[in-house]
Amino acid sequence: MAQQIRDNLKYTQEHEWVRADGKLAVVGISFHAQDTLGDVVYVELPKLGSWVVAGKAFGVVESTKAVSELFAPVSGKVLRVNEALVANPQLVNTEPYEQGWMIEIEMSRPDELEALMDAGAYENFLHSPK
Amino acid sequence: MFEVEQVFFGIGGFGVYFRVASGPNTEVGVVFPEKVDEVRGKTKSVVRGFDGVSAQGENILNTELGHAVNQSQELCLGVVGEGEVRAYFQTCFPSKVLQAGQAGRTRASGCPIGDRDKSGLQSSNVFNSFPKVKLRGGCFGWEELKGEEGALGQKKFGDLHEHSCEFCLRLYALALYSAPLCIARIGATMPEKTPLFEIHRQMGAKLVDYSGWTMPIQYTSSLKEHTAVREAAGLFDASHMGEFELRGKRAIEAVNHLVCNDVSQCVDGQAMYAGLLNEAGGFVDDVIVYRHSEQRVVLCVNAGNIAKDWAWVLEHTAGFGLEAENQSAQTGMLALQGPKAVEILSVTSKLSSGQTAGQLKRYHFAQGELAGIPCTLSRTGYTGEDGFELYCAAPKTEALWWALLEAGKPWGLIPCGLGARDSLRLEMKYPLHGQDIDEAHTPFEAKLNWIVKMKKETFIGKAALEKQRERGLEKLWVGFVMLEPGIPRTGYAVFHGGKQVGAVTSGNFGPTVKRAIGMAYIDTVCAEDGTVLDVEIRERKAKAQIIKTPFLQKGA
Repeated sequence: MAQQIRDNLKYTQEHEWVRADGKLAVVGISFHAQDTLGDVVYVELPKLGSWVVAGKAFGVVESTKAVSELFAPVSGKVLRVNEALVANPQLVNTEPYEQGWMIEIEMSRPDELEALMDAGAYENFLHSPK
Repeated sequence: MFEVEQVFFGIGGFGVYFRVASGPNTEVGVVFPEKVDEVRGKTKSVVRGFDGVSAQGENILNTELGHAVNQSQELCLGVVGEGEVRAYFQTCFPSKVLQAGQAGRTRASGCPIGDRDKSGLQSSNVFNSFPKVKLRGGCFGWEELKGEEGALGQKKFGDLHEHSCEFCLRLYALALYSAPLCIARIGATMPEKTPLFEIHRQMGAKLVDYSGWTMPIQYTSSLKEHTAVREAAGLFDASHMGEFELRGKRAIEAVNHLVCNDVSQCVDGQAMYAGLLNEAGGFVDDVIVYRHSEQRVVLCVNAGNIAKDWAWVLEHTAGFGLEAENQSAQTGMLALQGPKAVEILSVTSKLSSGQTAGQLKRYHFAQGELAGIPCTLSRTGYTGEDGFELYCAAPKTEALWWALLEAGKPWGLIPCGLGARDSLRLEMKYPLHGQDIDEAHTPFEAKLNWIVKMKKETFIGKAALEKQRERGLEKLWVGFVMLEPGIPRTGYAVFHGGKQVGAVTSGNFGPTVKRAIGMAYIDTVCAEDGTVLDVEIRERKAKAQIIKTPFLQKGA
């Protein structure tokens, strides 16, 4: 499980991850999330410059078997979206923490990061009974 | 046998509420104190709670409880019958009598406290004979709730604390004692397992509940498995399917009365796809008819419909003097599909006729042996590829599975799950009963005219189909491709010129055609090939176009 959770990231209960750098935050879904979803065949992401709100849906990821909403871990403005996922949504499965990233946000409230789980807490969360 | 992974239960004013999880399945129900003596079973782990709330304050049951009770004639059979459930609720909550089978959810916790005291729990002999146990964790104080009308609810459970009133201690003991009952009860409603269940698990397949069966949805990746079938070969467990054998002098005549296709056109050893229709011409099921001989016919039916179909077949063949046998539980079934299937079978199988597997024509079948295991080899399938469906005695399924996987390895054979099975059949526009075709849709509407032989003198549903043909069809089942991003899913509304003209029955990404594809019943006026439609995907309309199907054009 160790390499399936990255130490330097923060996680939500909905299994999104955030890589924060100053006011910037890159967002994706965790190894566990993509594994549960199965083969990702479609990703719907917000427009550049739109605003996302922590805890609210910002997009959708669809696998061959399910549709699942993506929830924003933090609030802010969308600076970049991963266009590569349009042509190659399977990157979410193969590289959930690298090429499978989804959006980059300019955080309006970086303190929201504190409410998220670190790697250890997320690991415990994954192992706790539902 | 079932295995329970986790049990949640809470104790409250009128019994023990439970939720049992086993694999992908969760059941919710109520145990009544009078019935706890029926307890027997075991459990791996128990999460204890009170009144539907876990020790962490998580609401585990309350919102589901009403639902559970609504379903109770199914869920609580053996624990408490329907009449008893209702009687119990009438006693407990006269203001909220639940009708059996009533839709929607009722918050049992919203019932007035005064009514709760009438539950009889506190004066029940079983209850009062329980020894008191020391509480671990904590529970919500019963005393504190007295006098509050309808106040029980999730938010009230924020401050759990140690509590030791006699009522709670006894309740707790009752809950501990009755947990196995919940599980034993649930065992009876757990989904069925094919003879390969343990193998699927060992092989690391993801399991899902499908039509009442625990089935593998994928072993590694649905896309990879899909591609293996298109390019090499895949092996599916199809043992959940049902098989009915009908024997007797009038077997062909009886089956021809049952189905809309004409079985008399088959020779011995030939199979035929057909519809089992109701009087209104709708699909009770879609089936494959195997004509073994003039006096012996086998129907292969969908897993989720076995009980319904069996009753239907018995009822409608009653006058034909047949012997009928439901062999579903004794029969294992594997589907070996893909362009390499024939080569794999040519090295593993031996047909009684002396033919090779490759000499079997499409939709023909024969008796034979595969790695020494007697089976019926049928050149049929649900994928659009060449391939075989193999029937054997249930206990032999496992040996057949391993023999095929081993033999097929050099050709790239891999085990495949229901995910691939679904995307493969989608690309061919093969209907799935219960989703694309059902009792409310006729073969004409589903554009399956080729399986209807109106020249036959009679068959169930014929009169209705004649009428429908005269009247004209109001809707047609069409295939469409998405022109704009998005994946159509079952239930999505379909529009034309701003007006809703249908709904998606099935849809997904087609791994071979590499587009999002779907099927829908569409008003006939706009169901022509080439018509551009709007599919509503999450409040957004995405363009789609009706095209000629199957989506996968072979040899194109």
